Amino acid sequence: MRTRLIALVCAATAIAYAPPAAAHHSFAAQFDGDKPVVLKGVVTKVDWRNPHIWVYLDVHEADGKVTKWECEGGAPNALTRQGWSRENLKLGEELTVDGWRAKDGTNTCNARTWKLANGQPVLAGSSNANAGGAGR
Amino acid sequence: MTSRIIAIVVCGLMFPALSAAQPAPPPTTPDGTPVPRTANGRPDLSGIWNKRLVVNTAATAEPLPFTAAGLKAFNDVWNHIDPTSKCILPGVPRVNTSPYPFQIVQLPDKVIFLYEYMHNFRVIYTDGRSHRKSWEPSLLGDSIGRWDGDALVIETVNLTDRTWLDDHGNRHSDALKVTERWRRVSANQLSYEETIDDPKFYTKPWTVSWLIPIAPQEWELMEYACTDNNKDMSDGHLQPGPLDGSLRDGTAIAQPPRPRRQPTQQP
Repeated sequence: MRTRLIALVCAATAIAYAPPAAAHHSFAAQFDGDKPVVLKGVVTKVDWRNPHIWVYLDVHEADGKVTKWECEGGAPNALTRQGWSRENLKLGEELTVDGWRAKDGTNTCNARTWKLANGQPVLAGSSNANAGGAGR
Repeated sequence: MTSRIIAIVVCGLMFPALSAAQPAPPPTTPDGTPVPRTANGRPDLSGIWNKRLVVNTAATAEPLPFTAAGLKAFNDVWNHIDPTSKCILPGVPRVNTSPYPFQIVQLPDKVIFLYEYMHNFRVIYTDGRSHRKSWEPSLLGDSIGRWDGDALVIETVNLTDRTWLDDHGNRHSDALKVTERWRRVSANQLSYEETIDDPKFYTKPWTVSWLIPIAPQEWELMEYACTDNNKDMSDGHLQPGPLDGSLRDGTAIAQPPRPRRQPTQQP
């Protein structure tokens, strides 16, 4: 009975930790760890404000349509202490975001990694404190 | 029993990525560097300290000695949004376990704590005064300090029950008394100890402690305005439950209440 309980808790924990829980808010409350998304778009706005940075993108679809996305990133203070700044993301620059989609189906994501067109990763650290990033 | 151990081991092995992603834990013993002292010989706590988020402050004190009311509150956490998600101050003692650095300014008659996270400040008088008599209960409560040898001891009362203890959803009532013991144990480390004495929620006080490393020399406190762009709140995404997503597995149990020792009368 206890073993089954441990297994159950373990499974539940696995769900809760894939990806690990976020900090300022519950990641699971807003984003779906089972819905990874990769977006290639052009930066239209960077909100470098507490408690988390938000990056706004125009994503050009294959059919020529442009969809607007907004993605949550790490905590600005932690990112700044790691040496990052808004200068690392220039308006009009191409950016590839790897993250998870919002549960509510809107064009909102929680970013795990950001990469420039040349493949260089920027803004290491997500809003996910337990991923060793710049959380909360 | 064996199968239980196997289950625990297998469970642990499922999360290598998680443990690999954690920053290296800070050292747990003093590093032997000399303790700076003030002109009056006290250890000097002053400096910017790189405290880290402590997700479950009670981890080393579990199983907690819940009262029936304490257990109910612990299990009820999934019906409530974490107050800090709504930018309510973390309060005492959670202000000490929230992320981001804080600065201590030690003066002869007071010790000032400046916290980056949500711009909290605490002025802890060490001049022998008593707790205030008529103020309303508050999130940070009423703190007074005293020096006990090399330790700054802070006792905080008059707290509300509107704050939580941590991201794990550990709770407290308005009967909470917090005792903090701060010691500088080396040039680079503070020792922090907190005792949770809350007779409404716990049948006896419990105590946890750890070391906090000094921040890199070039660090300064930064602005942290929780409401500046809290889209999670303004866009209606906040959901109930502990921030660490922990479930209530039913293993926590209420302890039978223990009578509190009354002061004995002198014959």
